[in-house]
This record gives sequence, C-alpha cells and structure tokens, in this order.
Amino acid sequence: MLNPFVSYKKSSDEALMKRLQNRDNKALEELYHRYFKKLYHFSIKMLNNDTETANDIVQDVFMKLVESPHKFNLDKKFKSWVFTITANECRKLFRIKPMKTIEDKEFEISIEEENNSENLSLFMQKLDHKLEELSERHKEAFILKYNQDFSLQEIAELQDCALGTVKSRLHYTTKFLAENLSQYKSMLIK
Amino acid sequence: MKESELIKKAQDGYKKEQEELTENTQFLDQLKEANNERRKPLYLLWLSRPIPAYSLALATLFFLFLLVTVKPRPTELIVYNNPETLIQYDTIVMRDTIHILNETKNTKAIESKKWTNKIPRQKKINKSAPRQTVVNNSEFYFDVSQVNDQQNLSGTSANDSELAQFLGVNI
Repeated sequence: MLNPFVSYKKSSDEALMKRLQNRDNKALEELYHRYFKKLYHFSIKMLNNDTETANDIVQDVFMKLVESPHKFNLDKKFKSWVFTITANECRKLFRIKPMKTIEDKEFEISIEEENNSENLSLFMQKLDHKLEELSERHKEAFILKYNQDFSLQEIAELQDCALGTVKSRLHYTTKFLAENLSQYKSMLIK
Repeated sequence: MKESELIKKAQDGYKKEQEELTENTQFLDQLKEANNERRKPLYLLWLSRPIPAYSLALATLFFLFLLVTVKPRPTELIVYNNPETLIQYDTIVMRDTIHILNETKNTKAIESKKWTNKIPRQKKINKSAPRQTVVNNSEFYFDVSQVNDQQNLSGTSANDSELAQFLGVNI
C-alpha cells in the first residue's frame, strides 16, 4: 500500500515509478522535472545539436513511460533504464541519417572581443565538433560520464560491454579531445 | 591542454547548457492527460481480475451473514458475592453446586466452558415411570410408585431397599 502522505520530492525515482504504475500524476510530474532536461540535453549532444529531433525523442520516451510504466522493473535503477531507452532511440537515428557537421570556420573568433562566458560556449561548440569525429560509443561514454555523472559500471551496463572497454573508450576520448582542443586553451583563460 | 582541465571545462559547459534548457509545460499537460485516460475505473478492475474480486465479495457476504445471524454466546459467568451462597440439591442425584469463594473483589469471572465441565452429567431418568420427589426443609416425600418400583427391583421387603436405607427412612 502506498503512503499518501509521503513527499514526492524526497522520493526515489523507483518509488515514483511505482506510483506512476498506479497512474499517479504527481509522480509523473516529479519524474518529468527530474529528467526532462537531462534527457533532452543528452539527446541533443548525441544527435549533434539537432534540437528538434532530440525533443521528439525525449517526448517519445516520456510517452512510453506513461503508456507502459509496468515495463520498468522496480528492482532496477530508473536512471539507467531511462537513459538506455533514450540512447537506443538516438542510436537508431544515428544509423538512419548522418548528422550534420559544423564547419571549422564557424569557430574562427576574435578571442579578445569575447567575454569569458561566451568563450565557454564557443569552447563547448568546438568540443561538440570534435566529439562528432569520434564513434557513437566513445561519444556516448564521454557524455554519460562527464555530463550525467554516470559511474563506469553504469556506462558498461548501458553500453552492454566490459568495464575495461568503457575505461579504454574514456581514456581514448579524453586524450583525443585534449590534443585537439589545446589550441583553444587560451579561450578559457579568464 | 591537460585532460583534467578539459574535463572540468566540459563539465562546466555541460552544466551551463543544461540549465539554459527550458521545460515543455504543454507536453507535461499532455502526458498528464494521457496518464488520466489510462487510469482504470473500479468496475474495469472487477472485470479484468474476476477471481480475486469475486472471492473478496463472497468473503464479505459470508462475514456479513455471520454478523447478522449468529448471536454472540456468553464467554464468562459473573457470580456475585451478594446474595449469599446458593446451594441447590437434588434428593437422589446432586445436580449442581455453586461455591462462592471469598473474593476480595465484588465479582468473580468464571469461564463458561470451565463451568459447564464442572457440572456432572445428569443421569437418565426413565420417562415411562416418572418419579415425583418433593423436597421441603429436610423432609422427603416420595411417590408411591417409586416405592413399588424398589420393591419389584429388589424382590424383598422395604427393609432391604437400598433407596430406603440410603434415605434413612422406614417404609
């Protein structure tokens, strides 16, 4: 029996999912507030800044959540489950159409004229651009680790591979990015 | 660029980007509507799970029936100290006796089961020859038929009658 007086904000994701399985709208609202931005941002990054497609994917994921919440196993972690669904949807699109690439000339900027905040966003654009050059799995591991705070084990489960493979992918990605983005280091100096 | 430096800046950048995103409230309303539409009314639950539902209904009816029809039996007998001890004797068979113990409290509770167990089983009386015995202040009056019966049973005089000897009377 679910306790009607429990705070939704303090509830775990899994407890909220249990409530959603009983068609609780407040639980749905709380999960939406917790995960919409995260999933949307993750999708945007995975789809090379295609915001419209990313929005469609996240909406599909939430619709699936509402249509069949019983598919979620309450013994498992909701975060891993929902990101796995989103990542699978992104991978499908990744295979269907090649993502648009950003030309290097877009990053030709006058460093002296830009303030620090804008420098950070330009750095992020360059980072995204370089991530596009990597494989889908390398990119995914990097974003999950440094954007969504996933543990290595969680990434391994999500990508269905060994822990060592994840470590290797992350090591390769960070090394590649550090080498290729060294020329933009000056942008980050305050 | 150092890798740690890259990671820190990437994390800062990702955090900033994520904060700048806005939630789609219209979509949230749509989700809530969709969720409401899928909420099953009670009668549908009844149809979708008939076995537990009917079992529950039958069990409820059964207990309601019991509640209405079966009157509760007394579970305890309360014996009061006042009035004084009542002792009832039968002339032939001691039927029952109520002993009142000295209790500090006004009442004493005795379990009905315990009480009934203490009562000795009553002997069967031959209905074909009803006996009438009247008890009145230590004087005993017997029906004539009883005396005749005794004579027939023993085949001897009244002096040999067990009943007469037992009662201490001369017939």
